[in-house]
Amino acid sequence: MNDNEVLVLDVPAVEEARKTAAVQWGLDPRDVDVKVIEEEKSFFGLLGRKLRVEVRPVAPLVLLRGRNILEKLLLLMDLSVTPEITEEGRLNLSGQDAGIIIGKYGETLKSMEFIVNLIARDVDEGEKIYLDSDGYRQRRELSLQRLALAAARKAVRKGKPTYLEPMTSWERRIVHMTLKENSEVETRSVGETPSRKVVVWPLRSGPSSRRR
Amino acid sequence: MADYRELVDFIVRRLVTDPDKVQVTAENDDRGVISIMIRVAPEDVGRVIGKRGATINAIRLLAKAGAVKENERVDVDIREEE
Repeated sequence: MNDNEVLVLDVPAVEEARKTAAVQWGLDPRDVDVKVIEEEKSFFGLLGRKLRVEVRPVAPLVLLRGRNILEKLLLLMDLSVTPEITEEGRLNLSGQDAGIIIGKYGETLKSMEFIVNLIARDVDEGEKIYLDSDGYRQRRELSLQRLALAAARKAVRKGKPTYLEPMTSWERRIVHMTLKENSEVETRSVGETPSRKVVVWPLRSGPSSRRR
Repeated sequence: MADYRELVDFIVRRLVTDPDKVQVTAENDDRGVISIMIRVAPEDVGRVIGKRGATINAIRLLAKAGAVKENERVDVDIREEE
């Protein structure tokens, strides 16, 4: 974890350090760990003891902020879904309304991811936050691989380029990777987000002979 | 029940440079659609709409996802000039 994500504070009580650090980082008090590194027997008489403590966020800042924003959004949407930080550094949405939060072809999950990134990364340029919902990404990855292979077969059979639906960069990358080793086709992304899509070209009548 | 007005208000306030100018209202129109209207400072309108409408569309989809269980119809729009 980053060095600037440690605060050293002198406080009369641990709870105060927790609150101070949480405010400074834009987190909840539950999101930080406090470790006492020095206990000073009072020279200040009536003020009692003083503690020197180290405070650290319990996970990367951007993920904690993202999780807190998600909790608030899901509450306002009245959905029974709980966001959790995973070992892979993603935010997983789990619960009985997971299907609603994924949406048709994952479009609601994408919207959620987009909004959370806009809000949580506003202040610091942290890493992008990825959302998942109980293995949705893996299922989507498999279906994108099948889609890519089918598009390649179609492009070769018809001798014409096949255009896929608009996709996010993560989805387009899966299509490109799936067909990378396929010598019969070439893939490219065309258009601009959010309508950027993959085109699968058959190589015989492909872009090499048509390129401007 | 989902609180569409609060939901949109919460998001928009965190996207703009001037949160004091944010106003979000909810109205039931005669076709039974809950219509959420966003008003922000002129310099923040683009920020809420986003590139090719990406941001306002995402906000719209989240509101609609909140409406699934209650089977309600909700739409979100932004007042572009005032």
